[in-house]
Amino acid sequence: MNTTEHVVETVGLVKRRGDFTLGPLDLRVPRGFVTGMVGANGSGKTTTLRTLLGLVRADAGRIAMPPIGEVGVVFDQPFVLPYWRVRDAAAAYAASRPGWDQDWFDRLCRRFRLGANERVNKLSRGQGNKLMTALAMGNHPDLLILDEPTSGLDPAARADLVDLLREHMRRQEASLLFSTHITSDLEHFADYLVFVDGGQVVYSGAVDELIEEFAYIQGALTDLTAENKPLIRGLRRGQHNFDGIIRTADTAGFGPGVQIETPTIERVVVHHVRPRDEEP
Amino acid sequence: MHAIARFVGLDLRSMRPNAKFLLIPAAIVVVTYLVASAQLLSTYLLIPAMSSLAVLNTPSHLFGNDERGRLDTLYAALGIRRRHVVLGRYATCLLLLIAFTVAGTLVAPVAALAFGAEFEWAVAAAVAAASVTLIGILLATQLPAYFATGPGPIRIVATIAPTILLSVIFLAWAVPDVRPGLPSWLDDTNPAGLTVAAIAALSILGLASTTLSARLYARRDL
Repeated sequence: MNTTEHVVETVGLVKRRGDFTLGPLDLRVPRGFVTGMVGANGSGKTTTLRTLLGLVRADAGRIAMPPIGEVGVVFDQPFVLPYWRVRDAAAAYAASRPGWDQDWFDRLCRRFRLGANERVNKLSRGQGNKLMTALAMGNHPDLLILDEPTSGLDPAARADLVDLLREHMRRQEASLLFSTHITSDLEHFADYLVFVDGGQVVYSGAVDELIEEFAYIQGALTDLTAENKPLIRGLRRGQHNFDGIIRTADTAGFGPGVQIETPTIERVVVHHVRPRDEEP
Repeated sequence: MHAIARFVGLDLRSMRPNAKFLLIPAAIVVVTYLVASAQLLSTYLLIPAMSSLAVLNTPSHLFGNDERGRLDTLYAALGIRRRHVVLGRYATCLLLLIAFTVAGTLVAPVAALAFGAEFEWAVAAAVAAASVTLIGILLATQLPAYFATGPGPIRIVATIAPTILLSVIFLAWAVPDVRPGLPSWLDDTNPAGLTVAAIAALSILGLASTTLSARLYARRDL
């Protein structure tokens, strides 16, 4: 059993692409847990994952990863030939992935209702994602890196995929790094969260701590004062009401008229990426 | 070595469902030659004509597959190192070059028999060796460009440039004084020395080309 605390670790990782700069990124993915990576489109999630996998060259920094044979990878679009059949793709994986388990792959295909003779270009987007997930899981990898695997899936299929990932996580060594902009997929599933915005890590830590660290606040506009307004992230004003996210430590800055609730991951993300104040 | 062989297997697997894109041009070359050119040109010309498919068709097909299927990501996901991708792709191209040349060399005597033309195996072997050398040199100059940019920006240039060069060579072959001169030139030349020189030239250029391709591909964001 590998006892290293982190399955993936980056130190000072930097990637520049035109005007966009990712990092410097110090990222730690705990071994044996589900880590969700959230952020808006263009925030740097995919660039981070592609850099980890060596598909994109880092301009600076250090990356520690398990051998790629122990890592299963899924991106939001299939990366097998469109005119291949499901069995051709499986044969390509079987020839190269150590510990390939054809029975397990066949079971996953049955679960996902994928026929061995179906052509990749005839699959829907959701089915394509399922195929890539089955391929990635076909050799029981210790680490799964999934980039937007639920995009294109209907709610039932998304739930099924999350269930499958839960089953995968029952293995002692299994770790999962899961990037998504559908943050509801991570509720009650992710143990840790990496929140990326503008190429920088805004938050990295346990989901519980994130939810404890932030609070969702809503109240009447009359409850806003010059003193407490700067404490609100992503302040959203309605005709009479407002809402936003505050640090739990700042709760005392608001009067008894406001409602303060435990936030969802989505609320933290949505309000965090909004401008600090939004005057009507 | 195992990783390179594995990549060649993957390359061939990627071509198999659409092998018609390689076989149809080969059939066109043979039929066109048999119908129109046999009397005008020479039976031997079928050999370089077939070999040329390895540079006119094969790289654009293989790199086109990479682009269509995002196979660069697949190679990374399967743990195939970039250097092995480069070496494997060169090996696939060389394998196909040899296969096309052998096919041309085997069809040529049949064509000669059909047209009642002369056919000497020594000449055919020399033409085949020259074809492999020439097309190998063209491949060695073409492949680094594919590895640097992918197929999109250079596919047309990479196809047209060797087409023009090969057309010039084929037309030169048709000049009456050139073709009959080959057997007598071969008699005056040391074939072993010529073969060694061709292999050496091809090896040096191939080594330089693979080194350059490996560097260019390593720098690319996929």
